[in-house]
Amino acid sequence: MISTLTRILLIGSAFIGFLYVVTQIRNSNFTIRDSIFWVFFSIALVIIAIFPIIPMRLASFFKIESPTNFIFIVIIAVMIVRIYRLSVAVSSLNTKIKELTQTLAIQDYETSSKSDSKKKR
Amino acid sequence: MNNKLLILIPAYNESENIVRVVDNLINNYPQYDYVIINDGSNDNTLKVCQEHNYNVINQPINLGLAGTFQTGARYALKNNYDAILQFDADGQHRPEYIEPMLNKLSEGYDIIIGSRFVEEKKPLSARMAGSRLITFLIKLLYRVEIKDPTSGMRIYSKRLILIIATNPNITPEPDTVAYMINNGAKVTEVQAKMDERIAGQSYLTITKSMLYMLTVCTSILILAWFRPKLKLEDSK
Repeated sequence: MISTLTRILLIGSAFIGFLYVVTQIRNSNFTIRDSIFWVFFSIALVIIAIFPIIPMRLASFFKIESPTNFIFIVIIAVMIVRIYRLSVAVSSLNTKIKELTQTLAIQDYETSSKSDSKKKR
Repeated sequence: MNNKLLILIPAYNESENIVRVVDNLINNYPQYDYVIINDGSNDNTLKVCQEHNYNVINQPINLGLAGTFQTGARYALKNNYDAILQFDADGQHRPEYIEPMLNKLSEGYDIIIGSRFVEEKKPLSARMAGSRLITFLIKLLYRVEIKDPTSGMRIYSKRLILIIATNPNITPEPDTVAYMINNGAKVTEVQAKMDERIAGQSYLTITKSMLYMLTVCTSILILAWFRPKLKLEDSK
């Protein structure tokens, strides 16, 4: 059984999370494409809270003692995957920043001594 | 009215198509300014452009279509263009339809879409299923029928150029078109034939297409309610 308190907490935190995402999108701090994960994560939490039968059935299927434990495990697993993908993205961004810096630096250096004589079509 | 148009040609790994496409523009449609924006291609797209002395802005890093288009919009803003046209580097878009599209601009429209399905019927295929869904959603929510919402051949008016150039959530995608409609932009379609891609590879895979549909539909259905109102100024 999932306690009513847990369900209220789930819905409450999903709601707050969703509001936060929306605010960030409005302030152009978050692109829609990047926010999709959090939109669906919030929706999933709300669905679990409204239909506790889902985690209850899944918990017994996976032989996990309590549905609340099941919810925890699923959320943790999702977060691990999320963090991993973020790590990869950050690594890729670091490489790109390095490339940009190098390009810009060499470009600035060459511009100071280069004469611009290319004719454009 | 001044209708100085800038054709934006985002190009990612289009070395096999770019010469054909741009030569056609230069030779047969010299009345339009154009600029290629190389999106960090890892083939020799940039080299080919430079060898032919094309107008090309080179992005050293791949940004994707949205970022690349925004680069073009920033350039257009800086150089005071009256309108920008999104034009594919793979040769699918035909420049002969630019003129009828431009005429709509003089009528006061903000977004003019080169649409394959104004006069012709949309085929019943898996590929068009996504297009049908988006058309349906836009009609449902905004009472405007966009028959070819995923067409990449679009002209944007001057008052939208500033917004495109500065707002990261304004992308050349159908959900942005819907958002613009919701903010009072006038959108219309002009019949345009398009060709199939001849060479090179589209960057869309099945997973990417599904993710694309998911993002667009979520944006139109859910996020649209929360987006801020845009101030579309009359900049004449």
